[in-house]
Amino acid sequence: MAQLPPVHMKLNPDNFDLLMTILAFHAEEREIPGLANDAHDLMDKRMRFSRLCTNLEGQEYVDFFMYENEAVEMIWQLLFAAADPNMAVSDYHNRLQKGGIR
Amino acid sequence: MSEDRHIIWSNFYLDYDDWKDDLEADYPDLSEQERIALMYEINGDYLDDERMNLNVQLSAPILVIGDLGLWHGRRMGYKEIASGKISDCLYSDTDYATWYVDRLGDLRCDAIHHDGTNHYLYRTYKPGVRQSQIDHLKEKLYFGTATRADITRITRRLGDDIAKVYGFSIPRQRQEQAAER
Repeated sequence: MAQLPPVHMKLNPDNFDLLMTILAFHAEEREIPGLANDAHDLMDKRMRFSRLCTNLEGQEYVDFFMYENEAVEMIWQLLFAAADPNMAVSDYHNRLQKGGIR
Repeated sequence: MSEDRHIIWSNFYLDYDDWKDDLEADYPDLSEQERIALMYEINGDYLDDERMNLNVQLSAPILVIGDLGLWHGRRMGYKEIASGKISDCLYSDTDYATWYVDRLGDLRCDAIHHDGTNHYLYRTYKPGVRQSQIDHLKEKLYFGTATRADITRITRRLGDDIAKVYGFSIPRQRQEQAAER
């Protein structure tokens, strides 16, 4: 039986384009080891397995699926893209409940 | 080296007893714990050596087919090594890894992480395969429906290129044998 990627999103085309543009930009990044390869792999699979669909109202959307590890990597890619030294980042992690050692 | 595989590099099968005499002779002032740490460091340097040995450029990208052990079960996946260099196969982000050529002449890696073991198979595209055939294989791999026959139809093993470097022999492929008849 075919395995189906469990993470499913429907994006409007503009957001999909933004996501792919971020990955394309990172795919050219040579300073951070692994970032370019992962971005290239993610982008290749999103372009290969996503589908451009039309809903009943005639609006286009992109239907795409990811496996969990791909979704994890996508979060890393977006965090890297969002990193801004001028952004005032608040200290949220100290408000978390304490966990154990893993 | 066992009969069914030629190990290229591993940090999983390290046995301090195999290293003990030499390390005690070369580093008599270190404690046993320090010599064990040194064993892992030296073994890590050996991986750099194997990357240099296998700096072999192929004429096509390398397809990595993964049988992944995840916390909720196993699944199939793939990625490509666009460079087509065999040395670029010798990288892993897991705790332990063993790269070897199996009895069928395939380059493989068993990579152990905290959720389980991933098994990787490294192949390269045969000359003359069409992009549509590659795309079709990738779709089957992504959705976990690819068979060994699907893989061998489009790709060839890397063992022949690796065997040339190290000088060991691997069984000839059936297609070569059939062509000679």
